[in-house]
Amino acid sequence: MNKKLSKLFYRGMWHRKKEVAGVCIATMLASFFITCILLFQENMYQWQVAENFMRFGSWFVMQSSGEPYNTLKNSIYLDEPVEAGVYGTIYNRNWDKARGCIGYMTPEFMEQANIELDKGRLPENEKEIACDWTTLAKLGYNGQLGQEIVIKYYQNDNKSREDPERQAVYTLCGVFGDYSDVWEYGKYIPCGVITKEACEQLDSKESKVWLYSLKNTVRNKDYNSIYNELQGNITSKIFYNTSVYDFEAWGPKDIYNYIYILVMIIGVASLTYQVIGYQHGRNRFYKRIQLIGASKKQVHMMRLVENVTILVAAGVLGSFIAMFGARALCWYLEWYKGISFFKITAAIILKCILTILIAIVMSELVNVSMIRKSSGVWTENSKKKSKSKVSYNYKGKLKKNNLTWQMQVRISRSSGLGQRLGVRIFSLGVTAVIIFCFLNISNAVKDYKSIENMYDMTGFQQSDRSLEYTLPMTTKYSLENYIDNSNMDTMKYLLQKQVPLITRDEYITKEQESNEKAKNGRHTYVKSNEEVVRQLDITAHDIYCKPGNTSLLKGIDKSFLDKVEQLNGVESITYSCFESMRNWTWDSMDYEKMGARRFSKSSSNSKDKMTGYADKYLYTTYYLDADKILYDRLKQYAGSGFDYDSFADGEKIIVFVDKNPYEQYDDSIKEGSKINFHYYNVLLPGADRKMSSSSYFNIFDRGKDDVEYNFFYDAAIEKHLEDKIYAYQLVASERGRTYQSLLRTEYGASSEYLGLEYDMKYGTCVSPEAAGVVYVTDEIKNELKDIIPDFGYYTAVASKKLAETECEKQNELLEKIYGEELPEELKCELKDNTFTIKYNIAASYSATDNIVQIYCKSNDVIFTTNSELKSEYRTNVLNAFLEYGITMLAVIIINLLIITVLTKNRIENRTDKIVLLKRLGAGRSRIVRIFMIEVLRESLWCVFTLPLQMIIQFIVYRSQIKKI
Amino acid sequence: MENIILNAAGISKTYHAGSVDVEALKKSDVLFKKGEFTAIVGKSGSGKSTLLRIIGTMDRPDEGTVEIEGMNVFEMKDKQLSKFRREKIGFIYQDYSLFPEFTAYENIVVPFALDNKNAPEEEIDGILESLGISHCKGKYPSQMSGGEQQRVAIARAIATHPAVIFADEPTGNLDAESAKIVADMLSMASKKYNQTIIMVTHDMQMADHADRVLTIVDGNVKEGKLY
Repeated sequence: MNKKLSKLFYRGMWHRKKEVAGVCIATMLASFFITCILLFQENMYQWQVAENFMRFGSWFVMQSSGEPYNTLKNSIYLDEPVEAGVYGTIYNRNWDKARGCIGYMTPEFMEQANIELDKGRLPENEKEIACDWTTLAKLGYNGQLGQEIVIKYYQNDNKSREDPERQAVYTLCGVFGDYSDVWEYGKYIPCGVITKEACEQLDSKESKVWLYSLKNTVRNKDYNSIYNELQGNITSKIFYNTSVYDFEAWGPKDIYNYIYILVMIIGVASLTYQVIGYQHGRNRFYKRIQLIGASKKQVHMMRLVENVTILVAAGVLGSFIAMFGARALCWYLEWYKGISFFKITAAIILKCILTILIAIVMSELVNVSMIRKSSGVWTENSKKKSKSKVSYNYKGKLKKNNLTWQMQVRISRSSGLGQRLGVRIFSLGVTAVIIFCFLNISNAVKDYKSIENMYDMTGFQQSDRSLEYTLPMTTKYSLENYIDNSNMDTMKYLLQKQVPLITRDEYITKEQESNEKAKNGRHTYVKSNEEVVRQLDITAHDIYCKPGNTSLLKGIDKSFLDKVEQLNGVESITYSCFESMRNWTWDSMDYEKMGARRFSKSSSNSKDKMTGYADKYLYTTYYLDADKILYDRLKQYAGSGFDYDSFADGEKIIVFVDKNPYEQYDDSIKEGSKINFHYYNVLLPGADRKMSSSSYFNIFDRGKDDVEYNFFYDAAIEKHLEDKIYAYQLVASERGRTYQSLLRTEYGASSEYLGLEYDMKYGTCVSPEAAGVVYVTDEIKNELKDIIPDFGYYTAVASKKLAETECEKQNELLEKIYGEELPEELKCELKDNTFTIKYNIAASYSATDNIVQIYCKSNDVIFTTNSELKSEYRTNVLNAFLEYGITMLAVIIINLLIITVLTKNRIENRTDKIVLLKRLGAGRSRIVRIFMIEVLRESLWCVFTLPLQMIIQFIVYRSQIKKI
Repeated sequence: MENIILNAAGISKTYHAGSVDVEALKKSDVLFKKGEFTAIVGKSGSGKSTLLRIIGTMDRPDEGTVEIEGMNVFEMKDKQLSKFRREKIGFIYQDYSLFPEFTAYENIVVPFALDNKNAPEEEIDGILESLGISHCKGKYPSQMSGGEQQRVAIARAIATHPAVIFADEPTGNLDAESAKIVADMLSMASKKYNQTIIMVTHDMQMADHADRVLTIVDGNVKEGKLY
C-alpha cells in the first residue's frame, strides 16, 4: 500500500469512526478481560506473599547470638545481615517472663523485620522505650504514651546468682504492632526497644541478633533446601523464617492456566468474530476497490492493515485500561492493608501481546479464505443466487385461534432442519456442560459440607506440668512377695513373676485380708477411713500413652485469640473444657483388659515412642455446652435411659473406648457403669516430696525454682494475694512436719488426715453413669471429629455442669485438708482451656492456618489441626468454583452470544415476513409473540439459560421489529 | 364530499441522504372516492411509492394529515393503527408478499385470524373463483405461477373488505399477459366489491385500466396522465 493510498485508507477509516469504534469496543473488552485474568492470577499470589512478609518479616534466617557466621555472611544466597542487640529477658512485676527481651534495633533491622509503630515514635533518649502491644499487656500496661514502664531483668540475664534482680524505668514513647507473640521466634528479638546508649546502662551484657534476607538474585524456590544447606555448615542453631518461606500461597496453577486458555479462546474468538463481522460489512467497499482496478494483493494488504490497526489499537487500549484499573484497585487494597504487592510482570505483558497476535493470525486466516472465496469481480448488479424451491407440507390447519402457533411453527420450520436441529443440539450440549459443571461444584461443596462442622483447629492450654496416670492396684500374692522384694519396683516384680493383674474390686476384698501385714509398714500404703489399702501404682507413661497435661483449672489466654479472631479467614472461635489429667476407675475395672501391662515403664525396654499410641492420652474428657443439638447427636450412641436432663445435669455421660495397646477393646466398662472421676491429686501441706514429682499438683509451690507455675499460685498472683500464699505456706509447714511422720508410721495419726490422702489419690470426686459405651472405630472418629478432636484410650463426653460439680467437690476436699474455708481467690475455678477455630473459605488464600499455628506456638498452646484436610476440601470448592464455575459462565455467555447472533440473523432473514405481518395489521407485540414461542421452544432445551435467553431475545426482537 | 374515503392534505416528505436532502413530496393534497380505482403514475424517484406508503399508513409524512373514513391515521397509537390496518386497508405488492409456508387459502385467511375472526370460506371460494384461481386454494406459493400468486394477494386484499386497497406495482414482476389479467381483476374487484383501489405503477397500459390517473411530478400530485 503506497503512501497516498494509506492516507486515503485511514481517512476512510476515520470517516467510518462510529462503525470502527463499535468493533474496537468489543475488541477492547475481550482484551480487557484477558488482561484482568492474568493480573488477578499474578497479584493474588503477590498479595498472599506480601501479607506474610508484613506479618513475619522478610528475613530468611535469624542468628540469635554472637557475631555473624562467616558461612552466612559469605553465602551466595544471603544479603549482608542487619543487627539488633538484646540485653536480657524482660520480667513482669511478679518476676514472670514477659516473653521477649529488652534491647535496641537498627532501622535496617526494623525494615527487614517489617516492624512498624502503631503510634508514637521511636526512643530518642535514654529514658524512652517503645514496646509492642503484647509486651505491654504482659507487663500490665495499657499502652498510653507517656506512661512509666518498669522493666525487670536479671543481672546478665542470669537469675541463679545472688541478688541478680534489676529494674529500669522508662517513659513509653511508641507502641509497635504485635510481633513478639506473632513471630515464632519473637522471643529472641527486642520487644522493649530502647536506644543503644540506654542499653549500655543496663546491668547486663549485650547479645546480638542478626537477620539475613535472601538476595534478589536467588531464583531457587526450594527455600527449605537452602536453609538446610546453610544450617549444615553451622554448629549452632539458626532460625528459618518458615512462616514466610515454607508457606505455599494459594493459586491453583492448572486451573489458572485452564482459565487463561479458556478466556483466551473466547477472547480470540470474539476478537476474530468482531473483525470478521466488520470485514463482511466492508466487502462491498473492497469489491468496489477491486472494480476500479485494485489488485487482490492490494485488497489483502488493506484488509490486513485494517484488522491490525483495530486489533492492536483496541487490544492495547483494553489491556492498558485493565492494568490501570487493577493498579487503582490494588492501590486501595495496599493502602487498606498497609502492604505493597502489585506487580505487572513481563509474563503478563507477553501473554497480552500473544493474545493479540493470535487474534491477528486468526483474522488473517479468515481474511485469506474470504479473498479466495471471492474469485471473480463482484458487480453491483449481480443478483443473489435464487434459493432452491422449498416444498412445504404442513399438517396443522390455520384457524383464528392458532395463528400465532401455526405462524411460528411454519416460520421456524422454514429455517431448515439443519438450523433447528443445530440450535437444539447446541442447547442440549450447553445443558450437559452446565449440569456437568454444576455436579462437580455441588460435589465439591457437598464434600466440604460433610466436614464443615469439623473444626479447623483445636487448641488446648496445657498445664505447666504433665501427670502420669496413677491407679491403685495390687494383689494378695504380690503383697506377700513384695515384703521380700521391697527394693524392687512393684510393677516390675509383678510382671516378672507373671502374676495376674486383677480387678480393683477383687483387690479391695483381698487386700482387706492382708490388712495386718500391711500395717507392718514394710511398704508404702495409704489408708482410707474404712480400710487400709496397698498403694501400688499403675503408671501410664509416654511409650504407650502420653501423660495428661490439661486440667480444668488452667484457662486459655484469650487475649491472643482475640487477635486470631481478627484474622482474615477465621470464621469463629468457640471455647470449651477438656481435661486429660484426671484418673478414672469404674467398679468392674480390669487392668488386664485395659492393657495395663503395656502402660508400665517396666513392660518395655524400648525408649522409642510407639506410633499410634504414644500420642494418645489414657483418659480424656470433653465437657461441652449441653444443648439439644449435641444431645441429639450423642443419643444414637447411648442406651434408652439417656435423657437430656440427666446429660445436662452431668449425671450421665457417653464413654468412648478405643483399642488398648493389645489391639483389643476393654469390655469391662459397660453401659450403666458408674465412672469414678478422681480428684486432682494435690500435694499435702508440708509434704517433703520434691516439686518435680510428676504425680502431684503442689498447691503452695512458690513456683520460682523447681516448678515455674501451678494453678493455685497463678490464681493467687493474679489476685495479688502473694502475702496470703506465704501465710498458708507457713501453716502448711507447721502442720506438715507432724503429718508426715504420722502418715508414714501411723502412730498417733490424726484421723483428720488419714482418709484425706486416700481421697486425694484415689477418691471419687464425681461418679456419673455411662449412658453409652462406644467402641471407637475410624468411622466414629470421623463422625465425631468436631466434638472429639483427640480420642484417648478412654474418652468421655459430658456436660459442662459435671466439670462445675468437679470443681466444687475439689474445693470441698481442699477445705477439709486445710481445715478452714478457702478464700474465693484460691478456690478451684472452672476455666475454658480449649478453643476450637473454624475457618471460612477465605482461609484458603489468606494463609490463615499458617498464621494461627504460629500464634499458637508463640503462646505455648498445644493444638491439633484438621486444617490440612479441610483446606484440601476448601481448596477443592474454590477450585471447582473457578474451574467449573468459569466454564459454566463461559458456556452460558457463549450460548447467549450465539443465540443473540442467531436471533439477529433470523430477524434479518425474516424481515419480509415481519413487514408482511405488519402490512396485514399485526401489531409489534403480536409479531414478537410469534417469535417468542419459537424462542421458548428452543430455550427449553437449556432450561438453565431459559430466563436469560427469553429476556435477551425479547429485547432483541422488540427493538429490531420496531426498526423494521 | 360524502364519497371521499381518503383525504391526504399537505403531505410533505424529505429524505436525508448524507448531506443531501431529497424532497419526495411537496405539500401534496389528494382525495380518493369510495369504489374508485385510481392509478398513480410517475417517473422513477418521482415520489409515487412514498405517497403510497404514507397514505397506506406504513410511513409518516414530515407534514400533513391522512384521513381514512374521516379518521386521522397518524393520531392513532401503534395498537390502534394495527387494528385499523387489519380492518380498513389491504395491500398488494409487486413481490406478492405471500407467506411461503402457507397455502393460498391460508394466506387469504391470515388477516381474519389476526383479527380473531372466522374466515368466510364460501365467500373466499367465490373470490378465488372470480379471480380464476380456485385450483390454487390448497397450493403453496412455491407451487404457483407469478400471476397466480399475485391474484392470491389480490384475493387476500379484497377478502376482508377493506376501505382502501393499496397496490404497489402489482404487475411489476409479471409478463404482459399475466399483468393484464391482474389489472382486469383489480378493475373487476373495484366494481364488484365497490372497493377503493389505489395503484402505483409506471406502466401506462396498466394505468389505462384505472378510473382515474394521478401523476406525480417532482413531488407534486397532479390530476391526469401527464407523460
